[in-house]
Order: sequence, then C-alpha cells, then structure tokens
Amino acid sequence: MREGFLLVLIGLTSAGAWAVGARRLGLDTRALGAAAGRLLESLGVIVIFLAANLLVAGLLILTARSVGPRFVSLYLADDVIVLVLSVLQGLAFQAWRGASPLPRADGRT
Amino acid sequence: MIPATASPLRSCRLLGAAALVLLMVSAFTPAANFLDAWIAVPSVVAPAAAIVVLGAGGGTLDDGLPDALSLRRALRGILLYRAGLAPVLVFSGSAAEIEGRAQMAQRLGVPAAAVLRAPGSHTTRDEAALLRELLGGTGARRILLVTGEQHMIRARRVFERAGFEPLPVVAGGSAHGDTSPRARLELIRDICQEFLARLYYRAAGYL
Repeated sequence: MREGFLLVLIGLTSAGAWAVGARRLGLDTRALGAAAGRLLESLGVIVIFLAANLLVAGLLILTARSVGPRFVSLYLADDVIVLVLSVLQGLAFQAWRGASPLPRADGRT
Repeated sequence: MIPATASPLRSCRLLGAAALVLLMVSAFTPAANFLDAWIAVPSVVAPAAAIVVLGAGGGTLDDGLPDALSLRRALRGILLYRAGLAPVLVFSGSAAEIEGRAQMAQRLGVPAAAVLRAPGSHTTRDEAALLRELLGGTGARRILLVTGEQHMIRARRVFERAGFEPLPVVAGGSAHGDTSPRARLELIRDICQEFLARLYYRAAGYL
C-alpha cells in the first residue's frame, strides 16, 4: 500500500516535471535518454564517493585505534550525513566535469 | 575518436545502474525481509546460569532511560529474569548505559543483588573477554545471550570462542514484518554493516 502510494507520488511529480519541461520550457524530449545516462553516471560517481568515504573512515579509525590512547569506534562513520555529503561530492564532481572541456584521447585538452 | 573519459564514464554508468536497481529492489520488494529471515538466528529460551544483555553502543536519554535499541535489549533481559530463567542479570556496555539499564531493572522488580555490571568494553570481543572474567569464577557457562538480530550471529560465535555456551535471544532487531521502504533500507544497511563487521572479525582472527 505504502510502496504503491510512494511510486504513484513519484510518477505524478515526474509526469508534471515532464509536462513543464516539454511544454513550458521547450526542452527536447529526445534528450531524455541522454539525461538518464547522465543521471546514472552521477549515481555511479556518488557510489564511488560513498565507498571512498567509508573506506578512508575505516582506515583512519583503525589507525587511530592502533596508535592513539583512546578507543575509537567504527560506528563513528555510521551516520546518514556521510551519504548526504557523498551525494553533494558526487554532484559537485559532475558539475565540475560538465563545466570543463573534454580531454582528448592523447591527454591534451 | 573515443574520448579518453569514455571508459570510466561507462563504468560509472554501469555502477549507477546497479546502485539504482539495488535501491529499488531493496526498498520496494520483500527481498530485504526474505534475506533477513534467511540469515536470522532463532531465539532459544531455556534455563541458564546467567542472562547477558550486550551493550547497544548507546547511553541514556534525558529521562534517564536507555535509548531505543538499548532499552529493547534490557527489557528482554528483564523479562527473561522475571520468567525465572536465570538467577543473574548481567548488563554490558558503557557505564552510562549500564547504569540506566540497572536502575530500570530494579524499578521493574529485579533485586539489586541479581544485577551484575560489566562496564568498560568497547567491542563484542571485549564484552566476551570481560564477561569471561566476571562470570568465570561462578562457573557460569550456559548463558542467555541477548542482543540484536543481525549482531547475534557474530556475538554468538565470539562468546562460544570465549568458552560460553550461549543461547541466543534476539531483541531489538529490525522487524521482519515492517514492509515500509524506510524499514527495508534500514534492514539492508544493518545486514551490510554486520556483514562487514563479520569480515573484519574473520580477518582479525576473532571468529
């Protein structure tokens, strides 16, 4: 019941966004495929940032445990803010990439 | 010519697609609940020498009571004691958490002499070693081990290695029956977190 409601809710607002984009803003609906590709790229980058954050957190905490005088819990990194900040990192990286000219295969821009 | 960034971007796209599929399957299908039910350790409630309630990494809230997870474990232990399943109720965890639990136990009718405190441990392995010291002299081997659902698999093995015969009593785990997307995502997070903890314990030789 709840899952169905949430999916319908997201479907409705997505349809609304499509209508506003296509009719009011004049966006090209054929570009939706490319946009979906960019979305998946951004998700992939966010996953990489999240994994890197958790890995580095684990290494830092284990290092602190072995050299420091006090116990440091691995649960220190167990916070939803890590996910939120990873999303921001991923989006910022993608924005940076989008604002930069693509490098050529020979490495020169 | 294919730009030099094409291959990493393709990998990112695949990774993003995998993450999206995993997110949707975890949130909107019963996969998480099935996985949870499959790996769950069933509770075994039987007479034992002691009831050991493991710490939940929490303290007490403003009202002096333990926080939600810690409270559920403590209540489970108190109910086991009140059912006459063991003569001793042991609380483990941080000093503040133990004190909150002990005071609650006494208010709920557990005699002060029956409550043992095992403060000073930070990890499951520490808890097992500390309780071995605390209970070793009493000859208590068979214990009712109270902890969360996902934590139980690792905790039981660690306590077996410490020389105990733990009877698992699950408390404060994620509910199998809660099918909201939020509950399912929390369940997947807990399962993944405990899986990583087990990997770490194996790599460190604790299991």
